[in-house]
Amino acid sequence: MLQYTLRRLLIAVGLIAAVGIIGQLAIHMIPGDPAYIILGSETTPDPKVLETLRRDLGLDRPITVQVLAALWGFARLDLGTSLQDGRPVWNLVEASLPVSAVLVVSATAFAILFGMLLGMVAAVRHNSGMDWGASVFATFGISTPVFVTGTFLIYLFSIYLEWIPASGYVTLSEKPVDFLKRLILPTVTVGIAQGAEIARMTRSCLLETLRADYITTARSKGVAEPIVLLRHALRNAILPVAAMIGVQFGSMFGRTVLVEALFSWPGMMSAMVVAARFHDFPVVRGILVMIAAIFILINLITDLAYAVLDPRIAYD
Amino acid sequence: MGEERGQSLRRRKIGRYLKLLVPAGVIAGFLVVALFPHWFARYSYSQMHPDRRLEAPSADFWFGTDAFGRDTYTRVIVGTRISNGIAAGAVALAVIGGVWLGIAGGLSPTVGFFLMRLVDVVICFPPIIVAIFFMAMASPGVVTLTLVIGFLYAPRMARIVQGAVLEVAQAAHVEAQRALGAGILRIVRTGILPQILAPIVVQATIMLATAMLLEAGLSFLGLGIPPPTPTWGQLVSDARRTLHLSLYLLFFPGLALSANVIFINLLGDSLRDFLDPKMRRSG
Repeated sequence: MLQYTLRRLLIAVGLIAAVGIIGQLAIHMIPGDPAYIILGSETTPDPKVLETLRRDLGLDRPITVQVLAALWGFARLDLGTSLQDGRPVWNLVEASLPVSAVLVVSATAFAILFGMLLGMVAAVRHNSGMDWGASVFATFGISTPVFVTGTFLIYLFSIYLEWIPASGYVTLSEKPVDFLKRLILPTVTVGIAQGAEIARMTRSCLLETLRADYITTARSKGVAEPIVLLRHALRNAILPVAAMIGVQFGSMFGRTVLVEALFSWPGMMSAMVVAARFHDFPVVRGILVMIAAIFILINLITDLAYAVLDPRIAYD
Repeated sequence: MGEERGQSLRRRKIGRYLKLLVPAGVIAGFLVVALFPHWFARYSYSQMHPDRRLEAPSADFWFGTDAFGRDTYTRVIVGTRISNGIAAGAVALAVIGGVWLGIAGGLSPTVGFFLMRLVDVVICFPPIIVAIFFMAMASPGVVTLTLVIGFLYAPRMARIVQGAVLEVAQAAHVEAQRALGAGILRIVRTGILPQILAPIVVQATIMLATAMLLEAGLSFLGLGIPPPTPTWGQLVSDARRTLHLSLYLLFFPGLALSANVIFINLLGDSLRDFLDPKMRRSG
């Protein structure tokens, strides 16, 4: 187990470094002069400005030095400085990461609750109208992009019903009630899409489990149906669902980008989008590396948790 | 009794064909619109009618008009071309790149090892985040967008193909070809490619849907095709500004986008069941 943990840890560090290297090299893979693109191509930039920009980005040094310097910077949490306002990228990350984290955590919680409930209802009432409705809903949830459902929810709850404000963000400590009000729509928007996938998975796993012999045994012993469902069936059906929730973090981050932009949340993902619009390369690269690190860590923790639950994995 | 069974079998068979043909027909419809938008468009997508702004659907403007009095129907039609064009182009790139990489990886363990490490790095990210990263360094346009999305999906295709090749390369007919002294290109062309076509087609269809969503998402974020060319993502983004005045501006482009994606997904599911029953619900 120790050996397995160490190996996985090494791979994780290697992957984060690889992202850093690719992040630095990518600027050279795009055809054309990167400094030119960053300054915008509408006007011919002043050669002096170009020179300063190249020096700021380290583009005047050999590529190997650039890569090593970038990696050394990441190791010290120095992600470079923004081209727009000269602030360190790390400060931006520090300020915006909690905002994104709030959304990811609440949306995940909502998706699990909503998705498992929907999947359970569909499985228990198999082949009924409710099952059919749940599966149509899941298909729509998976295929409709969050920015469409989100905009529709804004119309319904903020403009038509006037229940909650359409967008913006306030901190929890400042105004707790407003914070919660503004959390609802983004959470539901991401949660419906994620939950639709969870519902599908829960339904098919639960259906399979409900056909097992021990379920028939439990029923014939006279165990009450809710207990059969919750204690016997759901417990065994939940493992693949839990595995999928771990895998889902990828699409979760992807949806969070869109939802943060839609609801004007000052999160890390929308900061990346704004920086990308202004070709602010250091900010975009810094946030990319941060997201990669978070991602790889989540994967590492999931893998280690599996190894603890199922010791066979560590010997593989 | 026997006749009854035959009948229900036939009914199931018809059902299976319908499941394939209905989505295929709808997608063909979208493609016709994408290829020949001028057959359907009723105005120019940039033509403004200043006296008829933010109107509801009518005989003159089937989907209503936007804040500049432009015909939403025409703009959705033109958006069909962008969405389907970029998605198809990107998936074509991903298939070409991914299939060759995957075959190379499947036949040579060394290439396979390095390929999979690279794929690990690319796949561990949500595509939209990597796409944002690349768009930050590029000037936006159809070609850039297609290249970036194609580049993002090629490793995913390579992984699927490599897995399939590894399986097929073990098969007796490939071993026989090898024993007969067939060259590597011949083995790939006659022994391997025909065997792995089904998973490639299925995967390409599913990728088409995700590529379309990715393009729309980037457009929505303002990192796709720049205005005035209308795209579905951009139309939804614009609709937000006048949401309190008109829901139609959100409804029609949103409906077009999700209908296109839903039917591509349905086509992918039926193709999977049709071409390769073994793969059912696994990829």
